[in-house]
Amino acid sequence: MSHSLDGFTPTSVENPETLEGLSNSLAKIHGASLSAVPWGGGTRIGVGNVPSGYDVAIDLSSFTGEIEHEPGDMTVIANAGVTIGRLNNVLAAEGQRLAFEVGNPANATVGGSVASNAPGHRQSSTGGIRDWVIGMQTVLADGTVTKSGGRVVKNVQGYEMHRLNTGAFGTLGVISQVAFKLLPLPAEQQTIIAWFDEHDTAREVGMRFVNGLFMPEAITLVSGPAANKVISASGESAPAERTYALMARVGGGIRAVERQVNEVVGAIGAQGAIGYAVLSDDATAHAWNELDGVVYTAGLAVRFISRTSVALNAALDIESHPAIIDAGSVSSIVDLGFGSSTITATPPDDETVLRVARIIREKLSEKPGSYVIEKCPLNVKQDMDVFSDVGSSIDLMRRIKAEYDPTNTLNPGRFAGKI
Amino acid sequence: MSPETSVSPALISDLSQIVGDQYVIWRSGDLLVYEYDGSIDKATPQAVVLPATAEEVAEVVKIANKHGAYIVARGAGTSLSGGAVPLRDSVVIALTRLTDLVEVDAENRVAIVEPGMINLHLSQQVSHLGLFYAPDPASQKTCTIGGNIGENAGGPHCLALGVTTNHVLGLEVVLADGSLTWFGGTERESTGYDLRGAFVGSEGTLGIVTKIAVRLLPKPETTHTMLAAFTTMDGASNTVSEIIAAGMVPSALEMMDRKTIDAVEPFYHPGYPDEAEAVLIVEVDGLKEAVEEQTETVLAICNKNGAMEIREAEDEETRAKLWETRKGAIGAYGTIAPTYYLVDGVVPRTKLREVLQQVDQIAAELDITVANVFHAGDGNIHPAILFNDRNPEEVKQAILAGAKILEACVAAGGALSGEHGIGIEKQAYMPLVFNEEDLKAMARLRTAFIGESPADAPIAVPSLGERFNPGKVFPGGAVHGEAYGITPESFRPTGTHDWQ
Repeated sequence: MSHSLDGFTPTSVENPETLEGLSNSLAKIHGASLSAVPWGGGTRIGVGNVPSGYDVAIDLSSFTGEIEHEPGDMTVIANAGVTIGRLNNVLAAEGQRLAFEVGNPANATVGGSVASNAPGHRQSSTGGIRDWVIGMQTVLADGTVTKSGGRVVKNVQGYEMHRLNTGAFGTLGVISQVAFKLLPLPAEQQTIIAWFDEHDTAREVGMRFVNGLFMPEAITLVSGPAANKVISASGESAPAERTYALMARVGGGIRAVERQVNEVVGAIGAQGAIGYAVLSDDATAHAWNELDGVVYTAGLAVRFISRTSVALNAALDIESHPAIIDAGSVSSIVDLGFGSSTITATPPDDETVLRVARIIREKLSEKPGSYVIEKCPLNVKQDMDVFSDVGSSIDLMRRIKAEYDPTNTLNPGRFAGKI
Repeated sequence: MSPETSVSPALISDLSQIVGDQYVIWRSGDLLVYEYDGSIDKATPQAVVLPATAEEVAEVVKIANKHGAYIVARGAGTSLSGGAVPLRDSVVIALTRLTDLVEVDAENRVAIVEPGMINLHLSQQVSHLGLFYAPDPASQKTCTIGGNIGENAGGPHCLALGVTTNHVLGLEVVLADGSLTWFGGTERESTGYDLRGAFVGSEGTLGIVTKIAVRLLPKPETTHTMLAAFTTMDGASNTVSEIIAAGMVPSALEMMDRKTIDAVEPFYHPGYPDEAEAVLIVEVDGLKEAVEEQTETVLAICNKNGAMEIREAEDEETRAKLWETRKGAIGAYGTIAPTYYLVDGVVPRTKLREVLQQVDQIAAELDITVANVFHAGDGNIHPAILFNDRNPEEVKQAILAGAKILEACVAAGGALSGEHGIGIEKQAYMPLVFNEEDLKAMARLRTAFIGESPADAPIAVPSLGERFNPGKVFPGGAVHGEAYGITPESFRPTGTHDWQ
């Protein structure tokens, strides 16, 4: 794998396979006053600002070790380099799974997913990764190994450094091992996709579930080309007009799934959906993967997190902006349970991407919430902070960085506020 | 403990200017109620201040800084680990006047509350919207949400829904310099480091929370509660394991042992069978169909493991009856001994039976009485050590037993605390789980928040790093049971059981 990033090519690559190896690598880098970027599977390595320095890549894909799964305790401990896909395969053998999902699980690693706080569709119901991390081991910039939390599902002992490191993009230490709380695999899963010609109707039906009888495992309102893609993935032909697709994945025992499907189908029928499809098993996974594909192939993807109603309005506001419509292929994917909108666009050239990115940033900065530009060309990163403004706690965050990585060795400049 | 004369008139005068005379307490008789919390430790504060707003809290912090006083934030004082005990002549900032429900956004299921709001009041105030606040500590009728933030409190229904930290969206906090800032907001994730995640459970050592944005959940369609009595602890324990193995996470899974049954019988007259050695409460909720499916499975597992009697509840009234003995168990221990020391430890679910046997052995060796009522579903045990606090020897044995029980939990791969926090009680045991580097890494966070005194600072100057809630969390800060003449030499943890 090439370890080039944002125009930088590292002068060397470390491939630690053991904790000792990782600690030694960091001590060496630190001793030589170099800067380093930790790598997992590279699926989200592009998220973050342009580094202010990048001498060494620390590739953790060989740091896999043993997976310690305790089915009776519903916990697992895995090293940073284990892929989410492999981990879920091990867990599935005992009827369990990680509570969260990530895109591209075949390549995404435990360390990279946790460090970058990777989003996934099931966050509608189970929340973000940080709620499922119960313990963590990290290696600080100078090679010191530290840990926090524990391996039991419930533990409150000392500061929760594992929460601080989740989503810290490896700027405080390199995550070497994570303990997760797990969930049982549902007996059955189905996905209902319904499409509407009116945004408000789709929204109303979706919110009725989010605030109603039950929360689907995942519930998303999709618009634009992305909507057409998921409709096609369900085997139906998408309408020519701009369409709003509501996707709801339900899970549980057979009777519970049947009831949920009936409730959703009943509600969409009463609200005059143009069409709908009910997918089971493999078809379900395919439809959601298609949605991930929209984000991967986009020239620009911005994720905005807010109260659901704000996230919905922001998406609608941006996708109806004339300059953005002109730029072409704008889609939005709104997670109604979690409260996030991912806006994607595929403008023809980098200059147009930058123009669109500036408009989106301006629109989102007016609203309460936070955003991150998940995907963009280098010229956008050179123009703006890819993370939204941190606000009044930026000084405290800088002090935290200075406490854990005073030499600015790890991922310098790549985090929020260019930390 | 400081005599009344040690109070600085200048401090009292400055504090009075912020909050008014009637909200500054400093006469020794009046301070008595602030010496205690729900633990067995105690200490007298220098003064107690009751601000009415976040801005007043910030001003009080500045005044305390000016006078070089330590600060302890206090909610209802229900901490079971000594979290609210004001060591080192602290100024206590009692947040019981900040009780407002600031905002409810039903569509987005968000509420903003002040820290003095009583936990149960939030669920009551949003009930008409079909919503509730999930974390439900046993003390939820009295404990405050601000205190819950400090200790990252749990409760019986945390098995499926998670502890306090899983429900907090944002915090308004007064920092050490008296500035007010927000960590997070009303959204699920915010930019930058997860300061709210770092702050929740920091036991009041990093700052004072003045507003809390929380997630609310829709009430489930159906709730079904089952109570099963078993002739053996093994039968009840196996039932717990098999329920989890069946791919279920019930909303609650609680157990009581024979001693607890004996304690609750005269109070609540539940009429549990004489031969019952354990009573298990299993609650499932959600869609009607899901609840029916899970209820069938739970009942089958209970019967298979020899349940001698099963009671069920569909409606609120019957359910309250089934929960009554569980919720009232701690209070009922008063029939057995004058005082209890409620230990809070966690073991891997699969080691529950093994560790409970060790608890019995420890009780037998030290000749003390231990009753058990606990969150079986997540391995969070609460052995209640029953003793007479007027007998110094019994106190010593109780504290020693607590230490040994926690050591057994950690040795089994568990944790020092599931929901009560470290406080004064367990700071000396932290090295059982964490090595020096781990603790140093945690201390760096406190330094980032508060700063650290220079190494050559005069001893008389309060240590800057311990500005908030001194003597808690980190080892060496205080002596658990000092009020009863316990010295650090009375017991020492004897090893480390790294979870790696």
